[in-house]
Amino acid sequence: MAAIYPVARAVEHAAGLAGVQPLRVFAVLWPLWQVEITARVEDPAEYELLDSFVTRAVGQAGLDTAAAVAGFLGLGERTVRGCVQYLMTVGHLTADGERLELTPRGLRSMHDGRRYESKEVRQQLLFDRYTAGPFPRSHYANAVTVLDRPEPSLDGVRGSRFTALFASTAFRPEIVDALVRRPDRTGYNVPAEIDRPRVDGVRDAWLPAYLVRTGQGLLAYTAASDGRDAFVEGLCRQAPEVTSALPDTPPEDAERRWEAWLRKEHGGGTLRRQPNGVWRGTLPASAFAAGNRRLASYVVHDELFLQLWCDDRALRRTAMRDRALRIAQSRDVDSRAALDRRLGDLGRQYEVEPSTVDDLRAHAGRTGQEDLLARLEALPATS
Amino acid sequence: MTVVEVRLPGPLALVPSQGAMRRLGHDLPDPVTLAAELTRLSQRDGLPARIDESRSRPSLAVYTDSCVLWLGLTQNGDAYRINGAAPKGLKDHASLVKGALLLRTGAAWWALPDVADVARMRRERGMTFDTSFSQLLAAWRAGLAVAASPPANPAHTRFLDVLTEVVEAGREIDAAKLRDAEPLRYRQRAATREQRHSARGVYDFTLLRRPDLVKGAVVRIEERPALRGRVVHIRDRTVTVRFESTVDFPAIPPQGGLRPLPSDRVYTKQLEAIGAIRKGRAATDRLLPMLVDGHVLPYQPEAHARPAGVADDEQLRVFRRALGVRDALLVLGPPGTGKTWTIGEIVAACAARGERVLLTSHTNRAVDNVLERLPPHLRAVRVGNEDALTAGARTYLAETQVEALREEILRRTEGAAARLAGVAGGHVDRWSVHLTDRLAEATSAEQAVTAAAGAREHAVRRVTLPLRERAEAAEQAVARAEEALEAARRAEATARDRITRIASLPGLLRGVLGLLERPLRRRADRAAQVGAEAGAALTRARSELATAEGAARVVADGDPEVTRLGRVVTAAERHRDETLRRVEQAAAGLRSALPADVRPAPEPAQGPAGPAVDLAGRHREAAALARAAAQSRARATLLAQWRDRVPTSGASLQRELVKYADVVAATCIGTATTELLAELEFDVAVVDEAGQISLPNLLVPLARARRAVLVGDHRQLPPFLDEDVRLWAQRRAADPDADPGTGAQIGDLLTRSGFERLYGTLGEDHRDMLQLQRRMPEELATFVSRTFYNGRLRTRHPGGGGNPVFRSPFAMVTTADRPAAERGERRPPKRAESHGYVNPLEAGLIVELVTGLTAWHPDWGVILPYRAQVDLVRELLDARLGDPGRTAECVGTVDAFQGGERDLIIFGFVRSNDDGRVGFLDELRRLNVAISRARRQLVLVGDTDTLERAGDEKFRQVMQAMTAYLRHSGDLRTSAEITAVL
Repeated sequence: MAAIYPVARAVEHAAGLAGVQPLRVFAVLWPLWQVEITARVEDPAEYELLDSFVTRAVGQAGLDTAAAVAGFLGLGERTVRGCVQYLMTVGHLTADGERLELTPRGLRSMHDGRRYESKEVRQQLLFDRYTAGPFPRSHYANAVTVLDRPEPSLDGVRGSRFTALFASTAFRPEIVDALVRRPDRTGYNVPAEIDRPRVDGVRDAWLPAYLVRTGQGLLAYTAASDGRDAFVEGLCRQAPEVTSALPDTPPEDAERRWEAWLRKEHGGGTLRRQPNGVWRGTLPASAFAAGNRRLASYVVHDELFLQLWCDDRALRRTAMRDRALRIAQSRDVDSRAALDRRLGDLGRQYEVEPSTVDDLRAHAGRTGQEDLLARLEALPATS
Repeated sequence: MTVVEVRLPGPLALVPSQGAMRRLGHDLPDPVTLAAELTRLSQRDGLPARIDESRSRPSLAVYTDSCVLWLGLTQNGDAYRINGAAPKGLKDHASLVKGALLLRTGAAWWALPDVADVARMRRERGMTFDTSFSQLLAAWRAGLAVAASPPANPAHTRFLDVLTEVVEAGREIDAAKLRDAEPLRYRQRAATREQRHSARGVYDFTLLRRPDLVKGAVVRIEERPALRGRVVHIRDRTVTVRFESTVDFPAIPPQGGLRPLPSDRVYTKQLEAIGAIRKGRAATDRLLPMLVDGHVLPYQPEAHARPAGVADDEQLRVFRRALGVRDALLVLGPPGTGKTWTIGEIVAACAARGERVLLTSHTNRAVDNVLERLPPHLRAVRVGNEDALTAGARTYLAETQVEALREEILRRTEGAAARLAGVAGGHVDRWSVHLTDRLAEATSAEQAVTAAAGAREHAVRRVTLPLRERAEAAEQAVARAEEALEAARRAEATARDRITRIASLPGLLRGVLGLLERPLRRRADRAAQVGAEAGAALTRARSELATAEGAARVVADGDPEVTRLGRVVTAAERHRDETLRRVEQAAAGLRSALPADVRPAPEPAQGPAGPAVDLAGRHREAAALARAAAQSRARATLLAQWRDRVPTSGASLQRELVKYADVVAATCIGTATTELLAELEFDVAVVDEAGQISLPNLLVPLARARRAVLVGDHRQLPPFLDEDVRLWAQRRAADPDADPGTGAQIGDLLTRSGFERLYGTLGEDHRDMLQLQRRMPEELATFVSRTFYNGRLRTRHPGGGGNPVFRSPFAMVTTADRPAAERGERRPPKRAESHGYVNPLEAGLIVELVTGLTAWHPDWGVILPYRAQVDLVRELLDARLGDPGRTAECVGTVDAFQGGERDLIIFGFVRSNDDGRVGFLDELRRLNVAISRARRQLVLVGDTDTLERAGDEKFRQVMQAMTAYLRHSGDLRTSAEITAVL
């Protein structure tokens, strides 16, 4: 699985924001601490049969030796001793010679009907290295990949070389304590049941992110969210070490480089600058004969990006519908409402009227892409 | 990210160069600001820095939040010159991540305009600047040498990768074979008489052709893929299948196909075990060090442990080591050396000291052999496929135990349930209420008595009020007189005591103090007199009091009100006693309604007078009975729920039986494929027949146990290797792109068992050998020992032979005396369905031998290397002996006899040809198994000519040695001779 979506998507999103002038995009690896904590929790397990009734025989029926319990339940004493031994191992019973007694945990379990076992749980916690701030739950989702090593290129992400960011801060265990004390800690992936966790190991980790420098500030994009990552944007505001390394002026040689690129890749094309400062290269329809995936999307080289365009409206509409069908397969699109939002965005991006679901159906039928409709049809109205 | 911290003493001086000044103070901060920034960073988290050694003179780059400064040493070497400066960019981040120094100092960075200022500062302020550059350089170089993060042990990872590849190849090959194969067509299906253990359907399928199936294989109906089951029984062309669930008989097509399914479960579990080891989640972390590095943990054998039975020297040593070893012990157990016994003792001893033992092996029979000999007080559970077990082992099955347990539970608790039902039925409640009411009555009756007595007392006092004063005065007089008497007595005693003491003094003192004597005597006499008077006064006062009291009584008794009230009191007392008696009855009733085991002891009697137990006592008693009643109610409920749940909780009980067992027994594959063992870990795994278990299969139980004892013999049969897998391995090794090491590793994994691999690598302390064999006669054992066990076997045997035909327990009948055409091997006839070779001459000889010897050796077996020859001999013997069941049992291939023994063993070599071709006979381990089965007499039948000319060198040597040995210490006869004798 790719560590993060391709950079073009981040640029598309930024370029689509009203009043924003995207200047440059940076693919970075944001430095984190990945802290492994261990803690003991009282895990409620389901009682089986014998353990439940042996517990109740001791706790409710006043039978306080293995022999008495065995006689009462009609079991062999050996079997009961096996169960008693087990219950002693998990701290539910104590024995004073032959006399059995429930421990506080055993009593609690009996009353709650759940066999509490003290278990050690381990989990990872993520902290930003610049601010020592904890990451919210959203960044622990499966879709978010956190790397062990600062790899410059990530599989599946074509064309991007990620620069690892450097942080000189040293880890202090107090930041874990501070997080555990917060009343809102469940929002930071620390479950309520965990009590007094112990730090068992700290390693460096890296979060792939795209930072888009605009005339209005820095936008951040990670796999944690469909659109902008507000949390990482907040981190940027507090990390001058990072922002100072990201130039905030429009690149001077963009025009020249893109002209050269257009000539080389497509033998020409018209270069124009959009009102929001984004460069657009217009090509004839023939350039998209082999495939229209890149139409209205972005080519990214280093920190520069170029939108590929075609004046052929019909071609753009087709490309948009193909794109819409692909988007409908994505995990992020989990309802009709979400799909409609994306269709609206696409309409603006491709500068044609937004498609409706009927349009997509018809399009899929015409182009033999009916198999892509299945997921679309199954979407609920809202997520 | 390599980050090396360096502490610098400082202070540090910066002198900007002209080139640098073009930027500093313009688009970049001025030097003083920068110096302050450097100081701040150095004193806080550390100042990031890198050293560039690419030029002739190494330079230092330091990084603030916004810019980077390139520094070089000044000529004097005591300050840094700022050679250049630039804004910090992403490139710098990337470089720092690759490697960085973090400079820390408690001192400060100084920006000085000129180099001369450095000396000036020293003169004027006594400041000595230090660049500490050599320290930085050293730290930088050291940091570069350190790997960023230690990679996981590569040899371990490679090993696991190769293992995974082998398992997945096996799975693929298996699946492909079954996919490509035709389903087994059947022409009839029918109900069976198979023993039922549940409601699942069991049906017979008559196939068109004899199938190549093994018992336990999973099949499904081709036309109804949802109908899946396991093969329970194969008899010629009839296959009995036990389905996974209750099957609607009409749903099975009358004619159709059975498709064997790949038993993917096994591969999945092997991969799971490998995955667990990879992630460090196995029960032990010693497997990789042992298997890959040959590392073991030192340990002490249990010096004083003794097995329950009598052990020979090696068995005892093995026993003690097995109890003490912390990772793995490998025990080589040649034939007849008492492996099963030793294993049983080890398992029992481990279980007895509280270890949870996993007893496992390659075959069900081996597992059951040990299981059935375990002492009965151990909790043992058998897990596995019910059809593959002996009847004895089946009783240990979790399912069977649960069945028996359920019945027993219900039977044993029936009585108690009935008794307690009375409790729940309300008897106890009714008696409780009754007792409470009676007790309330008694309490109010007691209160009535108190009230009545009080009223009477009140009346008495009222009536005797006038006399009160007199009585009180008399009381006071008594008191005073008593006091006076007491005082007088004390005074007298003191005085007399003094007199006595003076009297006992020595002469001189007595004389002096004697003067005191007379006054003392007088005092004493006076006190006595006072005392006498006081005594008289007391007597008078007492009599006065008695008189006063007597007068009061008379008055009271005479008062009609008092008398009346007295009668009221008596009546109340009578009523109270009556209620107490009723309470007693109620308590007795409740007591008898309660089950005997919760009845509290009755209250002790107070005394002979009055009711046996007073009210307070009855209250206590009632409380105790109430508690007992509550308990019996709780027990009634509990028992009812228990009896209700038990019949339907089979799965839960099974899981618990396994969880609480001391010993869990299963085959290696069985440990993998059952859900009952899902979360369980074991303290020790004892593995039998380990020489026959491939490493992937062995890892499944080993990954679940903290330590292991492996018992096996790699000089007997090796793990089964599927031909297609072997070809795959060959291709893989021959692949020019492949890493040659991997090819060799794969080959090794497939041909050697885990046992063999470890036996050679773990060192003396972790391997051992049983050496006293009790099965084979000495003549035979010596040969086996020499050939396969480096001569290390000893023998304890009463002696073999015992038939008039052969002169030695180790005998051979050679067909070399016959012409080639007669003794030669043949291909089996077309109609038969087996492969291989037959040898009619040998077959005939064998039949003669069996017939001739069975009188002296009723316990016989015939072992043949080829199925076709097995079929032929069986056919001939059936005709001769007329007992097909017996022949089927007693004639078989080597695999059928593995682990077994007979008094008489006949082994036929079958191969006889001009070229010395012997086929897979050259697998010497198979020969070892075959000939080491005999307890009294071994007879080999073969063409010594062919055998002694065999193509394989090792085999040839052994054959030559064997014939030489036979001539010398055994009995080598020609076929003609034997035919004559028989």
